[in-house]
Amino acid sequence: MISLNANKIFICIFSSLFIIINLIWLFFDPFNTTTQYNYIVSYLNINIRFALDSISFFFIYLTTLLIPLCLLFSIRSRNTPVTHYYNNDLIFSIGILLLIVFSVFDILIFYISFEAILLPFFIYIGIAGYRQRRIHASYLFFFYTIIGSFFMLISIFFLFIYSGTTYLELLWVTEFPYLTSQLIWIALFFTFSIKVPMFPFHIWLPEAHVEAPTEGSVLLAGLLLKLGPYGMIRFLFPIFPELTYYYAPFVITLASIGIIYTSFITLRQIDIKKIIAYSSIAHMNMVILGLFSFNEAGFLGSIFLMIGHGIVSGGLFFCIGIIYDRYHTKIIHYLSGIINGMPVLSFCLFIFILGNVGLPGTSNFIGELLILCGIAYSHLFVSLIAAAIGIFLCTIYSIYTYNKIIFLMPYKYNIYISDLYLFEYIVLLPLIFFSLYLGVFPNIVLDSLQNVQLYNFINIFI
Amino acid sequence: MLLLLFFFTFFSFFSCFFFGRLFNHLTASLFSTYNLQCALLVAIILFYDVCLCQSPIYLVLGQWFNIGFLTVDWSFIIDSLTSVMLLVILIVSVCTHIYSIEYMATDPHQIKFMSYLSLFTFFMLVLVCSYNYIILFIGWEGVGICSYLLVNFWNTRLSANKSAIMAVFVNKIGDIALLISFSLLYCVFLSFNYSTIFVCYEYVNINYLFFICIFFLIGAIGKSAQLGLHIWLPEAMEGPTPVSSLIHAATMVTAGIFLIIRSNLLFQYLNNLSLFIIGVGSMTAFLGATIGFFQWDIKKIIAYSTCSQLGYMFLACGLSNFTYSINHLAHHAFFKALLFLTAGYIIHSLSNEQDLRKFGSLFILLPFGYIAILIGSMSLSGFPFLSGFFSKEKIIESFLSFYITNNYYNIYLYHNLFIFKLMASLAVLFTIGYSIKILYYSFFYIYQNNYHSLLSFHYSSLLTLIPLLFLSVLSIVSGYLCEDMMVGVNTNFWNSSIFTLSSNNIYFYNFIYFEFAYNFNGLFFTKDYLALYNTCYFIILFFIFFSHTDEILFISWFNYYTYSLVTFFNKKYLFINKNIIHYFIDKSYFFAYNSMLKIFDKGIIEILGPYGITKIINSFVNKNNKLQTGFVYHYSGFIIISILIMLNIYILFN
Repeated sequence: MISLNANKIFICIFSSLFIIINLIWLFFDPFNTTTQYNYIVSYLNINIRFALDSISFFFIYLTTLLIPLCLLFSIRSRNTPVTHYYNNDLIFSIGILLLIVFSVFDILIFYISFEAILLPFFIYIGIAGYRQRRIHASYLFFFYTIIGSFFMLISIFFLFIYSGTTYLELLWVTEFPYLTSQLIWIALFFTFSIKVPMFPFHIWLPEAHVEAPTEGSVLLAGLLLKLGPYGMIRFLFPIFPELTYYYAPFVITLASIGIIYTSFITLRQIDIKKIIAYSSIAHMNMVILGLFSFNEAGFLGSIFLMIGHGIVSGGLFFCIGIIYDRYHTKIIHYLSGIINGMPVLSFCLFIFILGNVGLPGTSNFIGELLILCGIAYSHLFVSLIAAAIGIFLCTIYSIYTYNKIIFLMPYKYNIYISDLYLFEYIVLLPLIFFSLYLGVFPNIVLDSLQNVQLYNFINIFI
Repeated sequence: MLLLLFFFTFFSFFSCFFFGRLFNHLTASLFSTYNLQCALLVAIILFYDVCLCQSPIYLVLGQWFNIGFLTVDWSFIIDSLTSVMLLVILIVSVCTHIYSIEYMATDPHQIKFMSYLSLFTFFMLVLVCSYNYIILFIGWEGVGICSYLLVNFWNTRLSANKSAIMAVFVNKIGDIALLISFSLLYCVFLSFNYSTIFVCYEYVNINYLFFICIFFLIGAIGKSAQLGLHIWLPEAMEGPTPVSSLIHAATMVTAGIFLIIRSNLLFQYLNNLSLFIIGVGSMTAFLGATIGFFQWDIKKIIAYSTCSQLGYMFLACGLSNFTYSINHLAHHAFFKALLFLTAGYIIHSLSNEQDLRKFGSLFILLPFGYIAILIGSMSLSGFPFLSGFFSKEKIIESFLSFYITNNYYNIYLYHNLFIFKLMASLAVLFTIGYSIKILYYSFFYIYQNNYHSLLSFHYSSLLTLIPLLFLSVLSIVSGYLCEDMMVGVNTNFWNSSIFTLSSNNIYFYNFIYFEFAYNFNGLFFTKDYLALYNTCYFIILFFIFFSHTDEILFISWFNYYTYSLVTFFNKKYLFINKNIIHYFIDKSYFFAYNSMLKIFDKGIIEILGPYGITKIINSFVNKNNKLQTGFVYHYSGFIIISILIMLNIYILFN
């Protein structure tokens, strides 16, 4: 019962945070060239600055949107075993750490909270899964990320040695020796590419998704994956612009391979969560393509796609979680004809599937279109074709999966099923709303993103 | 006025989809039909405003998104082209709505069906009213999704699911091509507005323009079911018949043609590309007609006929005769919708029997259906002075008289075109053939179905017959009424919506050709009379052919050559069928497993990653474990050996 009360408190805290961030949006100045809402924590002669700019703002918005929904969704765990009582605390701590990661302007604190997210998530996958495989998955998740993070730690040491500070805006203006900066670039890229995840380092993600409970998957796909591109935008682009440009062909090649590869692999998956997980990899690689096409359309499109993908994949995982609660399976062979029992869920899932496909009018379409435009504008025609193949295959596996589980003849053991409960409505409706609202009025995000500060990042390249 | 169109259709969808369950089926269906009728009224007023009073409407509702120099607005235009399309779409849509009230009355999800139809109409209106390519793409994708939902409407049937998924996949190839061409448009023009692009296209590198148009063409080929990507269209006939009539005959499949006509300026200077369009169009016309001739499923025949007629529209686009194309599009929509709805009427009466071989003698039972099919078929086969005559014959005539006087063409291409001309002409013959086939087998041949289906014979009410009657009248008169307005000499109807380059203006050559070819032979040998003779002759010929079909079949059954010929056409040329798609899907799935998942994800990455590392560590640990024997002399031995090694190193480095 303690846990349930804690749940209520946590939901209250994060919902009020969501309201506050909406209020901040009202007074947010998109034309401000510097950071806003600065807050400096001074402790033991160390000053840590927390601030918002237009990039981090939307990630914080996404965090405050998804965390209360996850907390709300874990209400159902009162019927499930004792291990689930820890869910709320873990989700809450992940949320707080994410807020710190997205708002801190100090690379050391960024690193510490970046690392600290691993712990609750490791425990979360480890205890809240349902199969023995969850141990393997949590180890995989933990070690893959921590190997990358060691490189980041080392590169932070080097950064500190040469600049004497870990403060971000000072690092942006520091110049580093050529060889050192190359090593630092590679180390940092390695860290973030594991988090994205990019092609050779991606196999932790499907495992972690399959074994994590619904809320874990939502957090993983919706927020944790965004840490990689966010880190690249924050550190790689402004600190080492020349090197980023120098290594861009390599990154673009990796991302193109990743898109085609994961899209093809998704065709053969039978676990719905794995399908969405691989699809997330493909989408995040699209984001990387957009970032490294070095023009405004690609850059803004990839940030927009990250936000849209956070919403859409969150909604997809919630829908799959709801299906799993009813049927206790995620294998598409065992699911059929769900529309007969759960028409409302089918409608919600259809909206999210359309979002994943990138139908015009949903948020992902704007992102994908802008990324394609950006790639073409930089004359990366091979990557353009790779991205197009990715979108095409995305349609195939999304529609096929939807068709298999929602339509066709219902099996006799999955007819008597209740449709959405109230709290599930409350979880899904905001996501549907945001998915469609961002698709129809994308300018509310794009206008804020197109300020001078953002152009500082990419003006070097244009 | 324009927004009222969107309002009525979307409101019909919204209210029926979300609140339809509060009312009974008839009320909700009538409500949505009423909304669509209001939209039709608005479209008629718009037609008067825009086409007859020559005042195009341009409307910007606000910004959608902007990035740097790129601005995409919610901008809409109604010019002559759009308002003709609006009329066509809404007339067919209203007819389909009225028809579905009766046709779907026994279905528990009728309200959902009506709402999907309205949503489809909404997206189609968005497509034709768009003023930039991204808005067009909303409609383009939206009609695709609505088509998926509607084909899959009886979603427990496996075949419906299969064909719906195939429709989505094949269409998506076109959509992707369109997306790529949009990105190229951004690369070149930094804009998606028609106005910007059509002004600047002359100053752009022709290679970019070529690729943009190639991808537009692939998109149009996918959507309009041209050769290569036409496979989804016959498959999509698994859906309910009103859907086939609205989506797969009249409106959605014409979206590709519309795209080409809308961006006709881009295609004007690309003569090689227009040759490609001619080739694709004439081949599709021929293949569709021949395959349709040998089919036995009544809906499949009409579907292949749609393919072939769309080929004619494509062909007209390739000849730069965009007015002929849109003219044929409009009239074709009427008589093809009529054919489909009447076929549905027959199928419904015969308890969902679709095979022509199980029809027969319905002339007595369904006289009205007979009249409707007769009008539709005659119009389709171009019987003089019905609407199909005025649209189709013009395209064929202009193609046959296609003199290449451009410098761009050389003599070899001219000789190649002879094949295409032959194909387009033979397609007419086969069109007459399958029209007569449907007529003969369903209405005159002896009744071949069993006794029970006669007992359960079911007559539809007057509500079903109203749209048939309406469309019949339109198929008779629309061609004659609109000829001078839409494709007449020096018509000012299309205003600025369709522009023809003077060097591409075939009408001129056409005119000369016919003057020389026919006119001096006397009054009775002018082109119209030629077509009349031909059509009547072939209609009678095919009627005789099919009435002696028993004997012919008897002979051909035992003749290896004729048998294999019929099999060849009946199996869709043995390779232009869905097996080719299945082959590619199979290959890609095998590729995904064997060369991707097995080698990388479960192979190299796993071995170099978690599995390999754990294995190495485990073996290393096991070997180390063996050193921990627990005997003192072992340990002391290790200590001595290591001290010696250290000493050695020390000595070496000093």
